[in-house]
This record gives sequence, C-alpha cells and structure tokens, in this order.
Amino acid sequence: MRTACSQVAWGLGLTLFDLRIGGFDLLPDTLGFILMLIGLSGASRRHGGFGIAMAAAALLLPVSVAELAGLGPEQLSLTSNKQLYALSDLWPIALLTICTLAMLFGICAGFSRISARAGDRALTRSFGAVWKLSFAFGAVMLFALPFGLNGYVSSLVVVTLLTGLGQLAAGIWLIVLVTRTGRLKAPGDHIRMKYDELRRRVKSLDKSSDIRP
Amino acid sequence: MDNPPPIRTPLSSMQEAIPLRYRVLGLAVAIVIVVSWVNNLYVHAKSLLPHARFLSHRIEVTDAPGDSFFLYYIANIEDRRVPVSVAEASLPNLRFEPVYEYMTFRHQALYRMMGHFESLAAEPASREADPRTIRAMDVYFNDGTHARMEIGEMIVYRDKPQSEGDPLKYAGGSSSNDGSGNAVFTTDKFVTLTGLSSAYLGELGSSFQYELRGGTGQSSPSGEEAARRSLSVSYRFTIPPGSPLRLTPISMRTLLRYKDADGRDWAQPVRIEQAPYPTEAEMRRYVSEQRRDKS
Repeated sequence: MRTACSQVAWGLGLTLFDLRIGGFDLLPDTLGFILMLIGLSGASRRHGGFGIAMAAAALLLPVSVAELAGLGPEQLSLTSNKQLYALSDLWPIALLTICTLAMLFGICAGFSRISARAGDRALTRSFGAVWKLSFAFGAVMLFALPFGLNGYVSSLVVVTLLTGLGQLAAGIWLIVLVTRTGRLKAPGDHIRMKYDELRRRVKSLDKSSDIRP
Repeated sequence: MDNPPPIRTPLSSMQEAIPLRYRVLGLAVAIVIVVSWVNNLYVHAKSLLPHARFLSHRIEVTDAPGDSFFLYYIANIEDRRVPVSVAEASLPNLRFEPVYEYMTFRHQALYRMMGHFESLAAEPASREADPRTIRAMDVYFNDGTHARMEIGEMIVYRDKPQSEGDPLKYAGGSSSNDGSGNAVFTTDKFVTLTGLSSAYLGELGSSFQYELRGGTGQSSPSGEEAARRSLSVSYRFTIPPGSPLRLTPISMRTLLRYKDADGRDWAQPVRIEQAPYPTEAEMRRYVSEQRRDKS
C-alpha cells in the first residue's frame, strides 16, 4: 500500500508541476501518468474509484505523449493576443478538464474509503474536501470556457489563472494526503503482524527441535 | 488472515462515496455548464458572417497616375483567407498595396487595401468609353484561390490634362474623422461659383452637406458670386447611426463648378472621402442583415 501511495503521489506531482526549459518539460506528465497507472493498478481491487482514476489516467496518457511531440491541444495563454477562440481550440481543453476531474474523483473516493476503513476520520474528511475544491474549480473552468467563443478572452484568461492556482493548491494538498494514507496501518495489519511473528517463532522452534539429540 | 474487501464497481463506489444531496448538486452544476456551452455556441453561430465580402463601395476615381482609393473587405476573425491582390482587366495600370487590418470587432475583422494607378508604358490599343463603371473585380487570396467579387460601384474617369488658364489654384484642404473637411482655392480673377457635382450626391441626399464660400466670408449655399482672393468648399457627412451608409466607403471626385468673367465654364476636382468607422452594434446589425439576406 505504501509503495502504491508513493507512486500515486509522485505521479500527481509530475503531472501537476511543469518545469519548462526551452519549451521542454523536465517533469514530464507522461511519466507521471505511468506512475499513477502503476500505483493505482495495485489499489484498484480495494475500491472501484481507483478504476475510474485509472481509466481517466489512461486517456490522459496519450495526450501527454502528443504534447511531448508538440501535437497537444491549444493552451489558454496569459500572453495570447487572440480576439476569440475557436470551438476546435476549446473542446479539447474541456475534455481534458473532465478527464482530470474524473481522475481526481477516483483517487479521492478510493483513498477516502481506505482511510475510512483504517479508522482515520480526519483523513477521510480531508479527501472529501479536496474533491469538493477540485470539482468547484473545474466546474468554474468548464462554465467559463465557451465564453472564449464570443470574444471574452481577457475574462477567460483571468478565470483560467485563478482556477489554475486553485487546482494547484488542491493538487498539492492531495499529494500530502495520499502520502499520509501510505503510512496508515491497514485494518488487520496488527493481526497480520502477530501472525507473522507467530510463524517465525514456530519455524525457530522447528529448527531447534531438529537439532535436539 | 484478513480477506481482501469485495471488488466494487465504479458506479457502486460513486453511489457510496457521494451522498444524494451532492449528486443532485453535481447534476445541477452539470446542467448549468451545458447551458453555458449551448448558449455560447448559439450566440457564436448567430454572430458569423455567412460569407466574407467587400463592402458596397461608392468610388469615383480617375486613372491618372497617383490617384488612389481604398477597398474594404470584411471577414470573420476565424477566417484566415484574406485577399492579397485585386485586378481588373479593363484597368491594366491599377495596382494594390498589401492588405492590412483596419478595424477589429468581436467576431469580424475589417481589412483595407489601397488601390492606385500607375503610368502605362504605352497607351493601350483601345480604351473603353469614359467613364467606366466597375462593379466587380478579380480577387486573389492568400490560400491560392481567386474569385470575382462585387465591390459596390466604382466610376473611373479618364485622366484629362488640366486646361490652360484655369483661374483657380488649389491652396490646401483638410479632413477629419468626424466626416467634415474643406478645400481652399485661390484666384486673382473674377469667378462665379455655380455648384458642386458628383455622381453620388443624389444617392447621399441629406447625408452629405456642403457649403461654398467666397473670399468675403459670406456663405452662399446655392453658389453665388465669389470672386475674391480665396474660395472654399466645406462639407460634412451627416450619416445617422444605424444607416446603411455607415458601412459604405465613399470616395468622390466632386467637381467644383464655376464660371470666369467671360462666362466660360470651369471645374476643379475636389476629393471628398468618408471611411467606414462602424461601432460594434452597427457591425452586429450588418451581420444580421447579411444573414437575413442569405436566408
């Protein structure tokens, strides 16, 4: 579980942060989605929400590969001098936003379930809060996007900036929560530990009985 | 040993994870988002010109080297196809400068290109009768295509040399963005102003007003005797908001007509222009009319 959480946390970090030098992202989103898929695949049996997150990450992975090749969809730029955006610019952004929300929902729902079973109510509530925040910012973004068709570009850019900052904050919070979840003791862990210790003692007794004359 | 929990489907996971009230709220938010998209797509579709086109010009020009005029072309902003060259077979010495963006609106862009006449290396074997009225020209676009497009109406007068002994000399003039302007002439002879003429004065009607003044400063709307040191023509376009003329580029070669002391008729060309400067609301009205005409 700890390894899976670590993989998901690192994956979220790589997709959340971009460090571009000369147009090349040193923290490639592609690697982030692959890590998340690996981490979630181990946890998907525990909660169906992880299945939703895996499906969304699998859809976002080829898009990130296309972006590496320079074929990604249009970005909403703060420095753009566009009068308006065409539908062909906006619908890919909307679809990506929906996929990202689905991925965040799956991750929050799944880890919320895990933390609830481990008895950590504060952590469970925190996952719920992160999802609500992400959903709110995503919904505002989806509502504002089509106004770019009719020339409200400057307003759209401001909304993009604010929701982007909000989603960044929510994403950082989510990484912290996922990391904390990795340190939780799963239900029955104390029983498993006792069982493992018992097995070791039985083995050691068996060995000592073998060498008794 | 602890058994793994039962596998949950995504739907059952969602139903467990989200209380009913949040599902209702989420549905309401989704509806609001869909309404936003539908509304903006509808407004966007209604705001587009059915076809890019030239404005309906009213141009009078001579084919004298150096004489010029502007053509205005309107297209949706998304339309990357703009004219790069315009030609007319009956005007071999007509040339156009590169097109540039003149005004931008929310959904449309208005482009402008200047046409001017150059000297011909030799007189053509035959010249059409003077004047010629041209209503369409061959337009070449940046994507390699071309089309014959209507431009409104352009009357081309043959360049005629200035007559000897013309009593008036052009002294200067000015024009303003508010549609007003003047032209000043000097003379040292006795002349009688008889009027101002142009092919488009009738069509403009009360939207174009002018005043002929003699050197004494007395105004004379009907063009009475002037005969002092300077004479002037003052004019103003008074096109009301919402009038179709607001989007009609006008370039007139009016003729200031006068008689000398011997009663001989003379005429001085006076260039009077009105460039289109529509507001966003006027552009929306224009687009609506174009869409209505198309349907």
